[in-house]
Amino acid sequence: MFTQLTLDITLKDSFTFDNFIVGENQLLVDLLKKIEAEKQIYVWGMHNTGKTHLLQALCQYFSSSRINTSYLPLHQLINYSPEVFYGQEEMDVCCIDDVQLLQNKTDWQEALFDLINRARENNTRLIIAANQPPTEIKLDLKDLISRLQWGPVFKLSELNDTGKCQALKQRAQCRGFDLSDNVANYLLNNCHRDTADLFAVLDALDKAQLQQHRRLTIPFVKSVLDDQLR
Amino acid sequence: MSSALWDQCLQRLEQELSDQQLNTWIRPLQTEESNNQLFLFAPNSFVMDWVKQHFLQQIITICQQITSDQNISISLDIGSKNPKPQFKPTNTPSQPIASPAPKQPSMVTKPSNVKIEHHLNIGFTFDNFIEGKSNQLAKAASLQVVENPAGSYNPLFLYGGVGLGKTHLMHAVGNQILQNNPQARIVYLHSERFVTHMIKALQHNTMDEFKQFYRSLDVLLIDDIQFFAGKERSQEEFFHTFNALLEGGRQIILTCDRYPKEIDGLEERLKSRFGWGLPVCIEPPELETRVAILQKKAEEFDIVLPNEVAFFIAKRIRSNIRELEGSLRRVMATANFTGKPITLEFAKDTLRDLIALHDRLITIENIQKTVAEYYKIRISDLHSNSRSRSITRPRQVAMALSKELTNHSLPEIGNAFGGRDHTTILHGCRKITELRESDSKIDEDYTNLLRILSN
Repeated sequence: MFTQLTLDITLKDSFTFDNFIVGENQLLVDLLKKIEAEKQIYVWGMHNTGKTHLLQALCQYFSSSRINTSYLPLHQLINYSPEVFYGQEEMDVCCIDDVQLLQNKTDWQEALFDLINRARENNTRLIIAANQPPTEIKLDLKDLISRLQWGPVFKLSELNDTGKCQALKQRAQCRGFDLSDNVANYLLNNCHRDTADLFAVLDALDKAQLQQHRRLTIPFVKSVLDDQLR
Repeated sequence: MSSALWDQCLQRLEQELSDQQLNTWIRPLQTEESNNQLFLFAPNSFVMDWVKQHFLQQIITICQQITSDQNISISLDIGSKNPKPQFKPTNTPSQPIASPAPKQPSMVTKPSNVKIEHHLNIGFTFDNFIEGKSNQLAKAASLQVVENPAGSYNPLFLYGGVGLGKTHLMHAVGNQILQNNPQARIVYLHSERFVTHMIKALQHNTMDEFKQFYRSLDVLLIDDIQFFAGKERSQEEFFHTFNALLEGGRQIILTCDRYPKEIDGLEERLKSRFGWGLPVCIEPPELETRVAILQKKAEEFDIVLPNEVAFFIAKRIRSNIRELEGSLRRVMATANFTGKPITLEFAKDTLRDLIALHDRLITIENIQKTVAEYYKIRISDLHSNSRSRSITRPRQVAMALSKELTNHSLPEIGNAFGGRDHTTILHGCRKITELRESDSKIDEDYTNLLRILSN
């Protein structure tokens, strides 16, 4: 049997507060949005709890009010030079993502340490995110660890099932289809409930329904999931 | 002021680029617009090169389309449109980092012989330095230096672990000397800045000015000199500056994370000179001092911190004062936003994840072990087929906790409970939800276990 090829268009998923599901993180989100609230905030959360989304939403949010903001994703930048930290204290807000990647990178650790010092002097707001709290990241530079704890350290709580259900439905809507409560709950009960895994399943279902011209019913979902496991 | 042209250009770029590209490379650019010219400023050469390589052509094209002008000039440089002022408790104006004149943005940090920026933080004084056994000697020595600059304690070498107050004390000396003598030429800087300053002087062939500047000071405060380790040229230059100042009867204060002799990668002659004056150690503060520090900070933030809360935080956070301050800030921020008073319960709840970071370690096995211990049954009972009430309830509680606290799918949870079907797990979870409404004992057990597991 031939499967119909789908047009390979990658959808642009935007990272804004409009599509950020706050869950139990209302306080943290409010605090982050309030520019004068804290000059340094450290946010940590497990993989796929929405740190990247949150930081980028913040960039977009501040930039729209003409607050000069930068977003430094270390998973991308770590392959280049710590020079990217230079002059960032001239920003109003600087958001640094994936700080755990600085493990074993002495030059990067020193560069971040220097940036934190300069940011303090310049009154620049630093928002730092990682998948672990400061004391758990294995950094050689103790001076950096203590500076990461200077401001409040917040844990970004993972979404509960209701939140995940909401996130799935929202993502489906972005892709132009409706996800019924039944199917969403079915996914939550039968798949690994990590948000990224759930999203991957949803994308696979989307592709399958387009190829096979089917609506997303539980039997159809079940058959797609069974196929994937095979 | 942002420019209208850039705003329009940005709107187009928002359609064409991913959010990450926008947030990392485009939105941080500062802009200025005048007479058919758009000036873009990047924070550093890395960002500038990246933008040049990946986005500049696109920006030019868009701007040409918007203005219908092929000759519009767009320039990209390093710098900042309005350099942010450094903290300036002084009457001297701060040095701009980049020229505000947009035509030739450049990095200029030229030392001036007339007015100097001392970079002292006025927030660090002796008044708000909390004295305890751990730092008594260091404080006394610092006060001596204020009384008698360039006297017997020269250089004053403050050393100790991170976040214990070395920098605070150093600034306090600087501020006090300045208060006693407003004409005093004082500079505080981090060792990294000294290195950067020297490299720039070498690049721009202005070493003479550099030397002149540092040797003209009355008091030089250098923080974290351990970062000189391995930087030979900087050490060489610092050695000469150091000697010149000492010979000229000027005061030097240095901080370091260890005793001079223990700094690897530092020339012997520097190590020995650092030990000439008074090396004095700051130890981690004891409990009472930590409580006093918290109370002082609370006072600065204008909040009332009940003693039991201060003790609660101080007992748990021992390592350094920055973390102590971070924790207090978190409690305050939460209280501010929720409008709740700061009580012991409130602080415990707010700092729960900070103080006990164990919830990362929650696994189904862990849950089963904890539940078995709590109900005094065996772990194997949880896996068994036993239908006795004394086993089934704990088993269902463990199932519900596994669903709530981990990301495993119901079939995975089923497997971990002796190969049960996922519908059994679902039934178990629903049963517990129901029972928690109707049976306060079950609800209490569940809440207790939740607390044990996440503490």
